[in-house]
Amino acid sequence: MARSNHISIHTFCQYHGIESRLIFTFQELGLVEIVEEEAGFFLEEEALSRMEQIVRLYKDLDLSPEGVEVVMGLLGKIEQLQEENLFLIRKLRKWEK
Amino acid sequence: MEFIDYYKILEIDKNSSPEDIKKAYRKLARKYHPDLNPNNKEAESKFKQVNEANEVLSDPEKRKKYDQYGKDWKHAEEFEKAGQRQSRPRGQASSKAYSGHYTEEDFSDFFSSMFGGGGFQSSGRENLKYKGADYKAELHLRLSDVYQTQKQTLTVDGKNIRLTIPAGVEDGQTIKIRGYGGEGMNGGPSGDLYVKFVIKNDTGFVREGNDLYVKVNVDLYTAILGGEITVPTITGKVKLKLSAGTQNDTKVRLKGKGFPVYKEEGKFGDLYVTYKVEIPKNITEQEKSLFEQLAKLRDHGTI
Repeated sequence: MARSNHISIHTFCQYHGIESRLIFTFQELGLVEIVEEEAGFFLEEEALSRMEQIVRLYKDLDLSPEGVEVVMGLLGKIEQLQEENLFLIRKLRKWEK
Repeated sequence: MEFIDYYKILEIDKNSSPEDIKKAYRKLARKYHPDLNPNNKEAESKFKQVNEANEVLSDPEKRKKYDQYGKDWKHAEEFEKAGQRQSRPRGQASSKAYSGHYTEEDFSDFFSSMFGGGGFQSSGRENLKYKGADYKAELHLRLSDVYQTQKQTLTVDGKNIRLTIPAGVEDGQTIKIRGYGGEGMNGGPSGDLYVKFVIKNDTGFVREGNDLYVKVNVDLYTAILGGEITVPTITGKVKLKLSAGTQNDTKVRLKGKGFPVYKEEGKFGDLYVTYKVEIPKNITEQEKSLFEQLAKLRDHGTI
């Protein structure tokens, strides 16, 4: 039986109105990990927020899976740069006093 | 409640074709999408408006109703009958992260009164369990507060959450509290609450990770001759011995006198004290004469 912190891909796709093969495409692009169990294919609960973000980008912005991959990559870079920027701003502010 | 011009929001005119509407929506959605504008409340609000405008104008029936009664909505009793709902309270301490599914709550009162509570798309999702939206909240603390572990109670959506904040928490650090987000749909699990700590430095110390830094003034004579000075630490004052000939900007490390290490009980960072030697600004004639004598002694190489 599936562990309670796993979300069935079937349920996820039904809820979001997408085909399950799309999730496998995202898996091939390295955007998401799929867990295979006896009862079927599942997503880890921890991966849910990221998966939802991917689906939102795909649906809301009408992007191709490859387009989503590019956007996710750039968003990751932006996040990293923002963190570095924040760290440097804080560091500078401390010594400006 | 004001009239909302959905055409204006989508930057199109009234004769726009469904294809024009779709194009305009896509363009603005790309511009204001919350996933592409994280932590940007203005963009999120714009996206909601764009979403709502698209919801109405991309649906032929809703568009027809909107076009027919839209500008005269104040006089159209039908709308009022359709929308007997009370206005919702807004502006809570926490904000919902965009979950990708706008619900009735995310639409304007104008939308609700015109199309009723069930105006938004539900896409046949009624029987599926789903996780609720994640909430984000900020907790403002003082640096002196987070030197020790403390307990605080947060109220989010009427629920009291007792939080234990471990000593040494960092400015900007975010913790996740599982299950305190929005309620799940159809019995699904609740979302999570993300609490970000915003820490204001109310001390005279500079904090860098677990270490603290402080500058201490040392008078000229103590720096030259050596002696004892009192320096502040976060828990009180300590006396330090100064050796003769201490130079300006000398840095000393007081081990374990820094900030507590997060979630490592009994472990502390260090305190770095920088000596700033003070040169007297106003000196008396007698002092001046004595300094001149000292200068002469140096010049003649007597010392």
